[in-house]
Amino acid sequence: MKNDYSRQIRKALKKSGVGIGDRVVLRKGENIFEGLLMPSTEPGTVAIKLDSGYNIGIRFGKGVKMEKSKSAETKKIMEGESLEFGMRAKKAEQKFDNSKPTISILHTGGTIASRVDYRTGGVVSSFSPEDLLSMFPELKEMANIRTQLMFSMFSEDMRFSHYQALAKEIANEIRNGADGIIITHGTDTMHYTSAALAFMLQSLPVPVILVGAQRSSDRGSTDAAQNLLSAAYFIANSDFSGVAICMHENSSDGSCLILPACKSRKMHASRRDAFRPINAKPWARVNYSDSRIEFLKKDYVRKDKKRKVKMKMKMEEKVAFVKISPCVDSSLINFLVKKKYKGMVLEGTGLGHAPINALGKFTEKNRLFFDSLKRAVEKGVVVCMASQTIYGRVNMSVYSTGRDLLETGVIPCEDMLPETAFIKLAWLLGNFGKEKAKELMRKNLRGEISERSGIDEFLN
Amino acid sequence: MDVENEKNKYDKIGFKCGLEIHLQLNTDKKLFCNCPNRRSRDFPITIARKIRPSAGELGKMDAAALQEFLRERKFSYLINPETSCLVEADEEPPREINRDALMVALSIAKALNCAIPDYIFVMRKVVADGSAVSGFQRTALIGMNGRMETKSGGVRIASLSLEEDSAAPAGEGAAYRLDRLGVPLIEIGTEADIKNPEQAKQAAEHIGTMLLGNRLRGIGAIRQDINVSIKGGARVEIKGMQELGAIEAVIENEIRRQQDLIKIKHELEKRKSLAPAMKDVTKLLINTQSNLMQKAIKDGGTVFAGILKGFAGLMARDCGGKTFGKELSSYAGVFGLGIIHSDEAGKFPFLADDFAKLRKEFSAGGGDLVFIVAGGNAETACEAVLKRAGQSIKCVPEETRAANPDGTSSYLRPLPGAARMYPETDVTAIKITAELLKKTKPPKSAGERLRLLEKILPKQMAGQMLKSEYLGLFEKLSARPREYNPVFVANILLSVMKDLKRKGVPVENISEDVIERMFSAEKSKIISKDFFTDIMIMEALSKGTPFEEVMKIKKVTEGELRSIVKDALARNPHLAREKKVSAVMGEVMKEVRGKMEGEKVLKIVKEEIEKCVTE
Repeated sequence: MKNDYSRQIRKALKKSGVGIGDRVVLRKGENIFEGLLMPSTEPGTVAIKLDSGYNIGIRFGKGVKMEKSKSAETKKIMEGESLEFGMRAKKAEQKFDNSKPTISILHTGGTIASRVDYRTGGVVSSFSPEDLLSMFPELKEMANIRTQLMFSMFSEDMRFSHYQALAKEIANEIRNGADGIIITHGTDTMHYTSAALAFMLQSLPVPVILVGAQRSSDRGSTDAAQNLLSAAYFIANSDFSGVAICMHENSSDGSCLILPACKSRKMHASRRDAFRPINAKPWARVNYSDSRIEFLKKDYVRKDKKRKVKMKMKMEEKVAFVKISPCVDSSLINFLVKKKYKGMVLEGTGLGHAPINALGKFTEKNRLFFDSLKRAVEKGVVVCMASQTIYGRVNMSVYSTGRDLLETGVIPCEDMLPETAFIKLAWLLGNFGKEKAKELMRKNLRGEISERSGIDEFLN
Repeated sequence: MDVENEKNKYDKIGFKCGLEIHLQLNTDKKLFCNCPNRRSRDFPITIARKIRPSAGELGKMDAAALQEFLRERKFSYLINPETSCLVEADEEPPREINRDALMVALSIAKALNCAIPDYIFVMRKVVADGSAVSGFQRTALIGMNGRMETKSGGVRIASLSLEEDSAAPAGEGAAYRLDRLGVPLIEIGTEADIKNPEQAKQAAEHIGTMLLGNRLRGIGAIRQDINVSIKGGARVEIKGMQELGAIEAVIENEIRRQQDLIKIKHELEKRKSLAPAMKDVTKLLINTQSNLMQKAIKDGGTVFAGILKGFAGLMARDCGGKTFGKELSSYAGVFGLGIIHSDEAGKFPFLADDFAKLRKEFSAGGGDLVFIVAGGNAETACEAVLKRAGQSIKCVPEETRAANPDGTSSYLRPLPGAARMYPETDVTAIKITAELLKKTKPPKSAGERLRLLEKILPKQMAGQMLKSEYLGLFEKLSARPREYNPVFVANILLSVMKDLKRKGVPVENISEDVIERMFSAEKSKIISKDFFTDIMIMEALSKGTPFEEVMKIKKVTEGELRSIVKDALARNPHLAREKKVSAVMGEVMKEVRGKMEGEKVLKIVKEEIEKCVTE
């Protein structure tokens, strides 16, 4: 493990019979430092935790002497305040209560479940489901809770196979009588997962709510509690079904929004209210501490436990995102064709454009880009167009550029989010023939395309 | 010898004392973000947050405490976007530690002969009272095991840390303003080596002088806490002394308080009696003549009473500059209530019935004391007083107290346990190299500073400036290349400010930043020297007006001004009747801000009010 102490320090530790967590006395010149030996964080440096609680690092070299402290306090401190920082929670036990709904929490990792890692000094995902329950005892008051650790990972590390594993487990839990599912998830790609689950799991009888946090659960100001408890409250007290995201409505604690699975996006790197509805309205506003649910749209599918979920789980991995920029080069497209990609989503400019017009000697390469797109379509690649403006609807009939692209067979994605278009294309190509996929790409299947562009759906 | 006797006196009583000093640094920016290090007056944005106990804290608590602890606590945070960003709002990770602040901290650590670690780790200290939006305060240990000399001998330095200041409480309830959050703060803690109150003052003075030129001035810029104990007493922490002069008095009072409590303890031992009990007496006293109790009941509160057997007559006893009764009452004070006890029944004849009923209810004898608490938290408050009374038979309780302006102190909370700390994972460890340490500038001594001042100021002025809270600002403004005439600057900072203060102008409202901008505006002829005083007055009085507006001075004639004042008085006749000068001033300033010298406005407002009243 690369974060362990170097061989030189390990040797010194061994010689003085000292291990991580032991109380040590370090002598360097006239200075004496005494405290608990911490795992290494900086090369060539011994880290100790002083009795005052502070950590300091002392460079280990000639003239530094280390010995085990004679003071017996070591173990005492270790027990009360373990290196793992007291996270050995008691097993959360709960008696089944017939009058309450059953919620199954599938845990995948992310900030909502992260804590300090003394090795890297960074934040890692690793709360067990039991920890989560003992940290949020309110959960047990709302519902019978089943928890399961699916993965312990950052969301950006997820692949399509993780979506498939999740979808399978959701179906399993529904078969076993769950009245709703909560998925705790890293926020970075949560909107990809929500879209994937929405496509994979058709006619869900119960709600499946994804929940994340922007501030980790080990700090007093975490947003995890409100997001998780609001999701549980919403599942227990509404007749909603289907996939949705539940996150903070604004920077204040108070209400959460239930956001549409295919029309939401992480719009800020760090704020609590990073997830926003795009070209859509939220389904509902939830304030669990005031016991309030306010539906903002009524056209949701009602919960019906008799309904059977239909599953289509395959995903095509040979699908790519291409962001259109000034000077974007044809070789990018050619490379994807050569590598046998089956589909690509162009994140075009404005209404769905790309630099394809050759207007003189400076723009000759634009023609090559156009040609490469044409060739891609001819070779059978499904090429779709979404807009990098995020908000608004692709319309490729307004300018000749758009019309030329349409003519080559580029499929406009209406007001679909680029990320949703990417997931949808991968799913369509995994489960249907190419022609069917092209046809379905333009049709609204899970609320990913809206018929009307609402006047009140911008920057909310 | 008297002095020797004086010193022996503290030896004899086993006096032990340590000092903890917090000083805000005057860096341009905050410690973990690039917000300017200045205060705001208006806060257009409010966010509401809840703080939950952090996972790390759950370890050792019993069930009941855990239950209480698990309750979410709600706080409001007031924000001015000019002085706070997403970092303070806990919506963005911290940036790198401010280098200027780090260099100051290192230089002071060196000057205090501290051992400085090779790597400094920023830690998160768990703070659950809401004063940190994140739920923790960022702090880093810069030096330890140091030593300083005072006239009365050496004092060891336990630690020097660099931390972010907390958010300042704002008005009523659980509200905090975020402009102060993140201001760099140096905390220096001594070992309990201090031998007498005078040495405590010397030590504080020594540290204060070292940081002259690097620290902020004004309310809250220096906060001093002391730890005091005597033989037979207990370690008591007293927080929040903002002035050097207060230290000796607070320590003397604490010594006396602990001695008084020991005497009371002996007295109680002789009386051999304690069976404290309390009861809900809301129904029993339903016909009370006390308005206070009636109101408490009407507002949905309760009335609780307690009995302290054998305590009669003790309430008037001295207790560190207060009475023992006041001391006990201060434990109810934590819950916003006070007690009325039977020792003072003579003062409240209308309560005679109530006390008679209570005595009967508790079967109280002549040596027993009964007391009443009324209000929303009456039960908790009554319990706290009973508990405290119970302790007085055994010992002086260890606790944290708050210093009062009169040199006494009041109970604040139990002594905190060891601070809960874990690494701030968003900031990488800071490597302290020999090269970096070489770059630190040693702090100037007072003598050295005076010599430098005397080079640019007349001798008397230099002496005044050395003691002035504006010394840091003056040094900055008179640094080379010299932009301003030092004598002019010193005159404004010393005489003009003093004069304004004497006239009741709240000069503490004028930030150093604004003063600096004024000198710069004067230099580029945007404002004239003659208007300096007036702009200061307006700035001090104009809540929320941007300084740019304040500076735009245009004239109105005296006649125009008089009619504006008369109009304002006509609109608000009650203000004239009640001689509310400042309220009228506010009304008038809305219209003439920047158009007339503030002093003149004040004079005319006063005259017109007088006229109005005599008419």
